[in-house]
Parts: sequence; structure tokens; C-alpha cells
Amino acid sequence: MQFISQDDLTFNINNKALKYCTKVSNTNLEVIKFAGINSNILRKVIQYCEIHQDDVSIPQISRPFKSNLIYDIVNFKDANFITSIDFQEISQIIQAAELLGIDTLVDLSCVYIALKIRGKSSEKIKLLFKANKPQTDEEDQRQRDIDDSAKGQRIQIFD
Amino acid sequence: MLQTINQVPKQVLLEFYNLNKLQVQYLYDVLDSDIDILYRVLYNIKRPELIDKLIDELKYQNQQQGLLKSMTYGNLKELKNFLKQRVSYEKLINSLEKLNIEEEKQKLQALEVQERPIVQQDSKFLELPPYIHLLIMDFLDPYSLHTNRLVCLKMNEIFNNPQISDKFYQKFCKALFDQIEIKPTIISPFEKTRKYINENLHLYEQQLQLINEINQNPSQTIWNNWGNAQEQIINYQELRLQYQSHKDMYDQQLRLNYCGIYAMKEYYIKYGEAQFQQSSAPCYRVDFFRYIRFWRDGTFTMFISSKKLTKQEIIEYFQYPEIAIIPKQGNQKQMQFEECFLRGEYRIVIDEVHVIAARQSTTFSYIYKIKNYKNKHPGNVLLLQSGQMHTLGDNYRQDIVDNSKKKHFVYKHLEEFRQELHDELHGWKNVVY
Repeated sequence: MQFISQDDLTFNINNKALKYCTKVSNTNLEVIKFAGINSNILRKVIQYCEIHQDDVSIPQISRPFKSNLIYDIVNFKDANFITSIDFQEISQIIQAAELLGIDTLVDLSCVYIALKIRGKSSEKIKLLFKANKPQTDEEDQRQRDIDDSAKGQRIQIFD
Repeated sequence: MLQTINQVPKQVLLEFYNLNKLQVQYLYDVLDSDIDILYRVLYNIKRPELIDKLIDELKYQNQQQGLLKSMTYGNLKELKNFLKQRVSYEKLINSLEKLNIEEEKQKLQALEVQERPIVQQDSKFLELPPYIHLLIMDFLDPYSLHTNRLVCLKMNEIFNNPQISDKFYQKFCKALFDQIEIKPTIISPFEKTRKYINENLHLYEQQLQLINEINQNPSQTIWNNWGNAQEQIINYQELRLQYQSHKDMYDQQLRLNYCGIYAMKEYYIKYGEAQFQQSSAPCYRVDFFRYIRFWRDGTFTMFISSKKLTKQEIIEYFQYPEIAIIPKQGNQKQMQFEECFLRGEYRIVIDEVHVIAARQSTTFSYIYKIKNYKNKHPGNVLLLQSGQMHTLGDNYRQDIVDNSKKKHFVYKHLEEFRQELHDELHGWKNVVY
């Protein structure tokens, strides 16, 4: 199958990796366009699916947590995958994973956010939520327009 | 030698009550006892710290330190003549006004650099749908949930969602009222009594002897002997039936505090002997202090001291449930130090706390009532209701408490104990979740 991102870049996926994308795998389509997902993020979501291509099933995360490190709670591959992502992009990854229907990615990212919040004062959490990249007002407006137009048509199907 | 001084009138001292009397007197004398100039100077000085700056400025204007050191009003005339040559009063007042301007400028700069509050459009994290925030908050422990709630308005709205808020209070109530399984590795505080029971069975009450043969658990035998079978011990599942929501349970149910100590001051009267050629005997009032810390296991430690303990000593003695070993003291002092400690078990019965402690051949039992005094901190006062004592070889129990005197413990919260609630060795993880 082929996925097309917001920036008109195409990505190819195997049928093995598609088994985790529950909302998309049952259909018999070949090309799907996602107008609400950026190319950088689509690339990483597909990378996650290809990591777990050969695994039979991903184990669920148990509560309570044993420690404050991700490497003690989750697999080594998953921990490496998540620590390589910027904290500001995780919210976009969650949105992309919802569209595709990957529940384990959503749980993973929520665990990562919860571990960062845990044990900190409210002032430090404010610094985490703030956007660190200095964007100009024009770029903000451009991105907001794209997102608003894409809310109406998230998925477009081309046969 | 003191000279006759023109004292500052009382009106001035009352208006400027913040300032030091001697400093005002010094200024009054330097300014030739002119009240108008004094007022002009003092209105420009808004804080007592600026008077010290004034005095430092006079130092830097090439004055001899010996003159300033003679602040005993012995050589004031020379000082005044010396100052008149160098300093004009207008310059003094101008310099003071400049100081105030600098402070006002700094205040204005601080007002401009206020932090902008977080707006929803700034962070994409806050734009996520609420069911994802639900997932994140499921993973958090109650303390970090509370700090997360205080970040901004949107997080507070998400928290007030009944699904999350109910789970939050449920976690707290479980941590406070649920029973924890005691690990078998921990030594129970009744081992000493166990030895004496097994060695001197013929001296004990007949009930204890029989019960001890059936079950060799000394804590259970003692509770069966000292407690009533009809008492209802606090249980989380029973409380759940009484209250409609977990928030009501958290607000209304009386509870003990584990992150600090309870302290009480007591006294007893001691009668002495009359000396030679005295008709009456002296009597003394002896004050002493008691400190208790309750642990989540069901045990407690009490320390009895004649002096009031400092904060560091409290942290040393009550950091761990075992009795503290202080290597600075020698062996003899360590033995005396250990005798001041009492280790025992407690149980909560609706409003009251039943406490039993054993030391060598005596057992003490007290009943305290939990109260929320002045709505400062829930469970911050323990009223002493009754107390009994039993020694080896006796067939009776002795009452220790006089109900005429109302004695109470007061709670003191210490932040240094909070980290131990997350410790692994003592099994405090159950408190967090």
C-alpha cells in the first residue's frame, strides 16, 4: 500500500506492517492520502510498524510503574524509538496513530509523557508544554489554515 | 559620658516605627535638631536598610572611621562641625531621592517582564482530545496528578471530568484506608515480650497463657487481650458503602497523617524533702515532651524527652521505623537513648486510635481520638482519652490518665519525610497508588 502525506510525499508499506493499522488494513485499497499528517511524522509511524513487523503481539504496559526510566517498563526497541523523537512532535504522532488505529503507539507515547510529568512541580510542567521553537506569526497562521482545512477531509481515497 | 541630648519628639518615632531609635536620633543630631529637614530625610527613606546606605555613603565621603565609631554621643559637636564642612544637607537629600528613583525603575522593569500565561494555541499538547488526557492521567500517581492540575485552566477542566476526578480520589482513599500486607522479614516490635512470655509463663494471666499456646503470634494474643471483639477496624471496602463518592470519603473521613510527627507537652509534679529548719516541703513541676510518628505498616515509634527536639534531631530519630543508632554517643548513652523509645502497634477504630506498646516487662495501651482542629490540616489533633498499664506478675491493670487534665497531640508536617513514602524497602509504594 501507499500513503500520501500533507506535503505530497509517498511512502510504501508492507502487508506485514499493516496488521497494526486496524482501521486501514481491512480495506482493499492501494493508495490513501492523509491531509492532516506531516511527512516527518508519517515516516516515523511507518518506522514503528516496521520495527514490530515480525513480532506476534506487543505486550500491554502494566501499572504501577516500576521506576522512572522507560527502559525498565517497555521493550528496548520501543524505548529507543520514543527517545529519538522530539517532545513537541509526540502530540502529532498521537493524532496520526488515532487515524490509523494503532493503539499500542498511543499507549507508548502516553507513558512517555506521563513519565516526564511525574515527580515535577507545576512550573516545570509549564515549560514542557510551551513550544520552544520560535515561530513567526505568519508561519503559525499558515499551519493553522492547513490544519483547519484538513479537519473536514482527513482521509481521501484514490482508487 | 553622655551629654544632654535633644531627644527626638515622640510623634516622629511613632510615625516611623519601623526604624531604629538610635539611627533616628543620630540623624536628628547631625541635622542640627531640625524637624523639617528630618521629615524630608525620613520620608525619602522608606526602609531601614537605606539608613545603613546613608551611613555608608557618609563613610565613603572621606571621613575618619574613628568619628563614626564614637556613636555614644560623646563627641557629637566635633562630628557636626566636621560634617558641615564636607556635606551640605541638600546634597544628602538629593542623593536619597536618587536612591528611590533607582528602586522604582527596577520595579517597573519587573512588571514588564511578566510571564505570558499559556494559551491553548501555543501548545499542540493541549489541543489533544480529552480521552487521551484520560489515558495519561491513568498512569500518574496522585501527587503528580495534583501538580498537573495546577498547570493551567484547561488541565483543571480536564481534571474536573468525573471519570478522572473519581479515580484520583479513589487512589488517595485506597492509599490511606486500605490494609497493607506486612512483609515477614520485618521484625515485629513484640519480640521482647515474646521472650518474656515464653520464659515466665507462670507469672502471666491465665488467659494469655492459654491463648499463647494456641497461636504463637504475640501481637494477636495481645490485641485479643487488650481490645474488644466488637470493634470495627477501618476498612476501605466498608467505608465505600457508607459514602456515595470517593471525594466525600476523602473530605469527611478522619484520618491519620504519616508524613510528620505528633508532639505533646506534659508535666508532673514532684515533691521534694524539707530542709533543715523549714516547715514546708518544696514541690517541682517537671515538663517533658512526647513525639509520635505513625507508619503505614500498623506500627509506630514514640520518643520521650526532657528537652524540646530540633528539626534535625527529629529527622534523625524518625527517619526509619527502626530505632536510630547515633555513632557519636558511646555504648552507655546509646542504651539510655534506646530506653526513651517505645515501639508498638496501632489500630484505627472509626474515630479513635488504639495504641499498644511494650517495653521489657510492661505494656502500655492508650486510646487517642482524632480531631480536625480549626480546619488547618485534617487529623492534626489527637486527644488523649484513656491509658492503662500492666506489669509482669500483676493481676490488675493500672490507670495512667487523669481525665481532669486535657492532653492533646499536635501534628507537624515535615517535607523531608515525603521521599520515604516512595521508598522500596519499607513497601511504601502502596501509599502512592
